[in-house]
Amino acid sequence: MNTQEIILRNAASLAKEPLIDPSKTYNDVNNDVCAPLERLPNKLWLKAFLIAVTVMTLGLTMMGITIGTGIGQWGLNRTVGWAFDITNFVFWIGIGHAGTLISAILFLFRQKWRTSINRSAEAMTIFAVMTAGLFPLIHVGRQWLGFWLFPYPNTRQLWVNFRSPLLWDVFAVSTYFTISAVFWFIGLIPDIASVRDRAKNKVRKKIYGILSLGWTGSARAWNHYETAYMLLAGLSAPLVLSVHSIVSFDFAVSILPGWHTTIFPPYFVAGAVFSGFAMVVTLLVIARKVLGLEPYIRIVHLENMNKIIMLTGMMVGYAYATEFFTAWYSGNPYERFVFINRAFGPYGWSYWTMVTCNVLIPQLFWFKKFRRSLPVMFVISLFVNVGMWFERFVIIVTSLHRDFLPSSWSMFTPSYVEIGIMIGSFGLFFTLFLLFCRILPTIAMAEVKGVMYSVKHDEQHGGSH
Amino acid sequence: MDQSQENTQKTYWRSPEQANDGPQAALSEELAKEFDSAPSSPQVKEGSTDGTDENSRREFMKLMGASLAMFGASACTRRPVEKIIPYVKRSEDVPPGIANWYASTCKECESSCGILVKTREGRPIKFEGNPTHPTSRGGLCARGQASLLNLYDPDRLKAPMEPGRKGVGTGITWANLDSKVVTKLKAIKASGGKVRFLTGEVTSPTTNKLIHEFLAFFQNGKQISYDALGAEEILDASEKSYGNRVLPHYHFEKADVIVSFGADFLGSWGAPVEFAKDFSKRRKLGAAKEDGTGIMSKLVVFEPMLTLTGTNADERYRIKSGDEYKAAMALAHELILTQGRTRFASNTDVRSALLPYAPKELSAHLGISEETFKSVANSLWESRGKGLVVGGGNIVKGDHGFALELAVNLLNSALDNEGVAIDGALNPAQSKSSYADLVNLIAEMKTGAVDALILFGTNPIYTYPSSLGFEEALSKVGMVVNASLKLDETSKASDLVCALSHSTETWCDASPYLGVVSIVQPTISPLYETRSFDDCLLAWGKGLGMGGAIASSASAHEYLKNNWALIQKEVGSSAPFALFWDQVLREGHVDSNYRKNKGSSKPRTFLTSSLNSIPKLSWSNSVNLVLYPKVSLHDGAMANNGWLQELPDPVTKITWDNYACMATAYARSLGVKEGDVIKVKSDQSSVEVPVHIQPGMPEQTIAIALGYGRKGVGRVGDGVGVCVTSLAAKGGRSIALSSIPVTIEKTAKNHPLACTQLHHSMESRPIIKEATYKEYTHNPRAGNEEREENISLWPSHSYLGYRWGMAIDLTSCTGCGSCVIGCQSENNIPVVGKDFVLTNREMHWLRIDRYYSGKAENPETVHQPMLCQHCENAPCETVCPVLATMHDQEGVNQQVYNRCVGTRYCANNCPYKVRRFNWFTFSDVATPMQLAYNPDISVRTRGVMEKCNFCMQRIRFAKDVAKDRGGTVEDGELKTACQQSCPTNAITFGNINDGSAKVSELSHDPRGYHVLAELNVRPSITYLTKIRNT
Repeated sequence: MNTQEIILRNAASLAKEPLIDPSKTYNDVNNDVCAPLERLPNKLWLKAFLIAVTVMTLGLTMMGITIGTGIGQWGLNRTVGWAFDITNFVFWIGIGHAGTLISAILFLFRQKWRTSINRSAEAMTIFAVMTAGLFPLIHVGRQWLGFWLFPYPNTRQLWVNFRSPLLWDVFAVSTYFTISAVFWFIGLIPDIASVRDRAKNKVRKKIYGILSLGWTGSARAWNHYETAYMLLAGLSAPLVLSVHSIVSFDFAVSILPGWHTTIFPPYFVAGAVFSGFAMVVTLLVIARKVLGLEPYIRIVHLENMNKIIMLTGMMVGYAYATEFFTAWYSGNPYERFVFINRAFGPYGWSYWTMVTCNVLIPQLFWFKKFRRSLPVMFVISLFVNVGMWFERFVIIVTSLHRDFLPSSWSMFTPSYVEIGIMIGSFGLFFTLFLLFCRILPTIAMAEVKGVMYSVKHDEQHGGSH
Repeated sequence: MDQSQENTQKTYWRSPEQANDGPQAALSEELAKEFDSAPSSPQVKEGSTDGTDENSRREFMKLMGASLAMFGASACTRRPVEKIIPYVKRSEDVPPGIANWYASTCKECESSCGILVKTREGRPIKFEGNPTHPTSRGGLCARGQASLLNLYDPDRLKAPMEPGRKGVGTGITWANLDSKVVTKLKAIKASGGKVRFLTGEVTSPTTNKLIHEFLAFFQNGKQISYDALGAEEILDASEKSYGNRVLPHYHFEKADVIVSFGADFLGSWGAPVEFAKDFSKRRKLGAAKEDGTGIMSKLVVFEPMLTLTGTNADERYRIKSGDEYKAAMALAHELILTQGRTRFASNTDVRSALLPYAPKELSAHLGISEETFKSVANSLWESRGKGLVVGGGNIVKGDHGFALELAVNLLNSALDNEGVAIDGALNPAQSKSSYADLVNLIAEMKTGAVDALILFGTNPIYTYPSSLGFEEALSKVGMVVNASLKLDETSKASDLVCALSHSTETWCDASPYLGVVSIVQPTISPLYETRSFDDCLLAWGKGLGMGGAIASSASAHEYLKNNWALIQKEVGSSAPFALFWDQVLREGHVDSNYRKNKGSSKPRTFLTSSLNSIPKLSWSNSVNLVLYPKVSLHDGAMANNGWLQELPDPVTKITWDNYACMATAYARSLGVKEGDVIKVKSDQSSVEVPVHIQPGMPEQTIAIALGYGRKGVGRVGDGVGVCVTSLAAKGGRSIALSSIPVTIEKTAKNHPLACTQLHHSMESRPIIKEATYKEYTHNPRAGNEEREENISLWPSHSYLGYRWGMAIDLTSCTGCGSCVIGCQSENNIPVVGKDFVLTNREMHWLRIDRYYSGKAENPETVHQPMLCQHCENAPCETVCPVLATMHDQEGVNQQVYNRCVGTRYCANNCPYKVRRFNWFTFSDVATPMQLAYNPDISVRTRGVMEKCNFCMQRIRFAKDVAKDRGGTVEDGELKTACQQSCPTNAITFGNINDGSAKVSELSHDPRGYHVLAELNVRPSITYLTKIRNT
């Protein structure tokens, strides 16, 4: 067998599995994707929504308590100044990585399988960043003065400190959110136009009409659209790397052993992609079932994501090992202590939870059977989410609670208020996501059609493409 | 105002530094003019029927209103509508914004330290040590400083009460109370009945005289003084050994070797401020040396629990409570019998008394090796005439304490230390205390023979164990009148309670030593309808128609002045009285004897027969209990003081509780852990108390602090901790507070202890650098050899003009906690309460870190004051997103409260963890405690970070004064609050740009190092290595 043959055979095996159910037509795409938007919510959705809103309300109440009385409602102390608040912030920002990565980087790499999942992944990104953004705002002592972090001209002639990583965060997160939102919206325009065209109700038509920005579907429009999309993808791609790098600077730039590490930017980005993909898997395994989108979001998509999860999981694992090596190799006693304390100190359980969830469990994806098994991947993705939450907790709390002077060492125990806020943040995220499922097409119909190479065009009529 | 005020008022100091300041004549002139009239004083109540003075109170309320309004401005985030009411006519002696200083005296213990009361807009806001006072010399302990807060205690008695022994206070007017007392006393006088005064240690010569005169009126009147924590054993032993019942004075600065048997002279016994000052004089090295510093002294401590003194010992030995005297006798045996030294070597009395105490036989029982006795005896002998043996005090109370004192007297006399470092002539004035008298009184009361009992300065129901039967005896007394600040345990069992004024509201005096008399002058009108004890006695005396000075004095103030006319003669001043009086008020004290005669007394002759009183040697296997006074709460009189409740114990670092300290091994054998509640049973009673595992405890001893479990002191102190006096037995010579045999039972309960330091080892990090004195004399860099010069990527700051810095001498620092309270008072630092200390949210800007090293059962201890290091490359400054913390051009790391949004990033990035966050609105205190706030520094709102700012307000003030003078701030002119309060001068602050400043010298001392220097944050605080004389 010569090289060419091997390539061909491999190519054939890759192409073996169609990305979309071959029996589906263009019309089916529109019908199936728009169906959840055009019918009354089913019981399952209502139940889920009710739970999400309740949980969100709980979180909001806890936030109200915090803002009304003081940060003292949390379990923080003079030694551990951040814990759940910044853990949640970094966790949600991390979750928000998959969307842009899928839509921008995979787009630039021409990964066609992204089309089925990019819409919901992007939506997830935006909601995750919104959720994340809440935490820096409420974690400050005087929340009502949070706007002081923005460099706006004021009569008091006060300015912000451009040397502070927290300020970089403000810019990084707000830029990321803006670009992601614009990118998402641009991608939505042709699909919103489809929804508009299908609308039987005037109000509906009006609203989607406004949102579709007068999309006609002309070749010229498509031409401009593709260019804009490409440019935005190019713009977003570096942001995927920059936002979490900057978030990692919150730690890397400080002098605290366990935080002060140059490995943090790539380590955080890898971790973010890891957790983001896990969250996408979690969501899509449910969504494809609930919304009846199995023909479009197929096992192959999920399997591809699982491969990325395994890859980034190993990168994260490598980073964990490197940290230990560096601590040992540095000869710095504080650094060494922090890592020994991390693994074997009072918070050792959280460290080993993290290692188990993030490094060990994803190794199951070496087996194709597990990679393609819905129950397995669902459980693993949950583990990864838990593990990645603990990763941030471990970095923040175990570094802070025992730093330079042993006289100040202390322990952190969360209060019900901050646990409530954490749970509430999931409520907020799912509320937003469930609303999204009801009002916008969860699959990029226009793009999906582009990868349906097996469709017999002559059998079709209509179709908005 | 009263005519007697005229010549009393040119008496104020703006600051101690300015008291004798020549170049500031203009300022002084202005001050003198401003202070023309008096702070109003209680005797103006004369003639007003209900004992109040409306005018002066109204005056105060006016000021209070204005000050409250000002506080409002700085304390709120949403600014409410405020109305600041200006003075319609400005009071001449209250210049707004300028502090008035009054020289006075601390009345919290018998050592009577001289204080300066800082007042702002008519209200006292801070107590500081008076630098010219002969005994305390500028130092003031934590309790002394915190006693300011008692003035504003919202739970003080605000008017006299008539509990009628039912425990419930019903208000009564002074006129009513006076008439009731007078009627009763008249009847007693007519019938020739018994009138008894039961007082604590009355240090005031004037009050003592007044009591004396008052009692002389009755056929059968008597004053009994007793303090449960008094020096009974020392007095008794002195009587026995030397034939004079005096409390000797100790000169720690004269001793090359100090051996202490349980005398916590740096912490809670005697005059800790004075002792610490003297002791530290001989612990200064290199650039820290002061006048009179000789070679470094050596401190050897044998003690039944780890005390503050023990943590500062060069050598420390654990000893079971009750065995202290055996160790002292064994030491004497070694010195006198084994080594055959001293003039008692052939004395048969001494020989026979010492015979059973051979170290060879005792060492196994005591757990102290023969070599130890040998080496201690050798070093005592080598420094004979220049040594000092002290013993007893608060943690060796009982009959064994008396035996110990006899042994101590023997050692001191044998080593010729008597008359040198121990002075039997310069006795403090308060040596009237007598346990025998107390026992007699109680017996008398029990028979119903006492018709009237007047209590003052004592709280017997709380401080006496129930086995004395005081409470029962009290119920048989005809009339019980208690003079107290509180509706406390004894007040509730009294017929009438006189609401006493705080010492800043009254005239009084105090005499800590023969020839030293210190004045107490009022600095504010009484806040409530209270009066001084002297006022009460005068009112009753007049009502009874007494003659003499009582009749001729219109007020207590006048009575005091009349007495001072006599004191003037005693001290040999020939100036006109008015001048003399002015001087007294200005300086706060007279000293005719102390400085002149200090240490020049003749040695007393030791009566060897006194050794016969030492009990026969016997051993017990019981676990013995020590009831000890804490450095913070002492006997518990100040239990309602939040500052003290939250002051971490210097040794255990626990706040808000008392607990049973026990050795690790003992706790393990019992199977209990920290915070487990145990039941401690003595033959008197039993209490349940949480366990604290304390390194350095002897295995068969447990120790529990007195002063807790109060009832009736107020919302802060009530129910905090457990009252343990009931465990004590009535002893033969005093209330036996130690060596109480107890049994211990486990319970299923747990009581968390609020400790500010959870980890006690330095983990081999170079945080505190140590060396021995021997190493130091060879190489002053000993222990501090590593000197890393780190390069920096930052451009360095150019500090033009001043650059503020600090040096802290770890060899001098005893860890007493005085600076912590000084800082709290100066900087309006809130008290957070036990729950928040438990969650590590205490707010102290300055804390004292305490680390153990060496063997866990008897560790070496180090104390390290830790505060903002004002780093040159401050990690906090770069990370604040809103520039709320920044570096000023004088090297101070500033915190701008108004700008802070509270991200807490700065605190996370601070390697010293000295930043404190306002988790809630901690500054919201009960009225009128706001009045204790220093108006020169903001009261912080919730959600902002705060920390030490090097007393920026003091820097500001000193610079203003220097500017007015046309010069610059000179070295020593400016002191931070912590530096000012330090009894051992361990803290030095100043301009390190000035090469000749003390702080610069110290910063360049070979002992100087920076904590965490390897981080290259370049702190402005230099620590000087800890040197132990081992």
